[in-house]
Amino acid sequence: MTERKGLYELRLRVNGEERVLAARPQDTLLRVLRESLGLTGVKLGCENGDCGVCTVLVDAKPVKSCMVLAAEVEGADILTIEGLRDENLREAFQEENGYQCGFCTPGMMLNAHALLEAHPSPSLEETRDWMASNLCRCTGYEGIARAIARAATK
Amino acid sequence: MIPFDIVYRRPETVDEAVAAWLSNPEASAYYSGGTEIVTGSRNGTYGASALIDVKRLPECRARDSRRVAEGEALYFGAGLFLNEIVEDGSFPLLSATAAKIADHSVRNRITLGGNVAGRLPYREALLPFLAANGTAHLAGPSPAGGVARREAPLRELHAKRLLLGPGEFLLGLSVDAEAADLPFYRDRATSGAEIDYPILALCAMARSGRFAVALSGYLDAPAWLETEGAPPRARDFPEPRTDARASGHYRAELLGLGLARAAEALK
Repeated sequence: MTERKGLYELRLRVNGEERVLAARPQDTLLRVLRESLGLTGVKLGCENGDCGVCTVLVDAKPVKSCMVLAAEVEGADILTIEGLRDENLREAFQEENGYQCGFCTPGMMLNAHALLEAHPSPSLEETRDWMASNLCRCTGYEGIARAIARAATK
Repeated sequence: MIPFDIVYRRPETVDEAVAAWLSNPEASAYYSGGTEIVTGSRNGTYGASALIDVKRLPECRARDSRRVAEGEALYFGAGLFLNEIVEDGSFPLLSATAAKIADHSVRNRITLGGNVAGRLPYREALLPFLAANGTAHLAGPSPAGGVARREAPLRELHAKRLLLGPGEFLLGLSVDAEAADLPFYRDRATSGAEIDYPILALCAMARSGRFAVALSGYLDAPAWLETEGAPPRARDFPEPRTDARASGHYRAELLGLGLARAAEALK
């Protein structure tokens, strides 16, 4: 049985690197990534699982890191926007104006990347189903959907 | 972040999970996907300080077909994430229902057991099992010491919530293989955005002239009815709830429409 109590040594694999840090069992993955590892591309929004700005990939699946305890994902592969190398997607977001203020963009891009890995040519329905996990207050979503469609053709 | 100190335990076996609960029954809670516990702990509606993460137990991760006394059953571990169930597809009504719970990213964390045994009143993943007369597989402390396992018909175990004994938790749910293949009807309405709690979620199945209907969002907990010959009518259910999302009258109208569509689809 694994037990985490008080301050403990947390080992995470983030963006391909092994990271060791002090954490408490009540720390969410969001807090650890931002405050202990300085990965501030992971945004803090609603902290209620609604907005999606804290989205990261855990074993290639998008999750909202505000709802995940860091202790749960020891041993998993975690990818944040700082570790994402997807030039096609980045260019597509630029070309299609898939962002405005940029606050939601890290979560959007990670979710879109996971979508395209799972479905290289996603239907509009699949795109909407996946991307509805992330809220954007600026763009109206059309540019984001176009960016994903464009990235799928590259 | 959970704003108070907790102890997090991840047992390898059911025996370890039950022992962890027995070591501190007052403060312990079984933990699965965590979406409800983490957010509830943050907003002050949840206070367990010893979390026992059971979602990786082999019995909770299993998805298999198994022989039971009545024939073949499909078993779904309580630790399966909803998206895994959506992709599984072996119980189409369950997959279709799970696909509309929360949003895609959150479905990568919500588990079947967490949805069914959680505190929120909707528990939509329960509906296909209620409609299909499924079975709950449970484990908990035995009065004689050690671990007791049991199976219980879900319709008997569920009365507004799962009636679990002290320290008992859900290992998985099963449904007979024949029921999993039956034609079904499902419908879901929200007060606005598609990603929201339902004001009415409905699952219906027909078998051998009997109609089974299970609902969520209509009352203060999921409910079910089974009738002979014809589907139940809206007035066969108790008075619907009225809240900020919808009036009881509106819910009743929706249910009437949904039942008529179910009858048409399943005749």
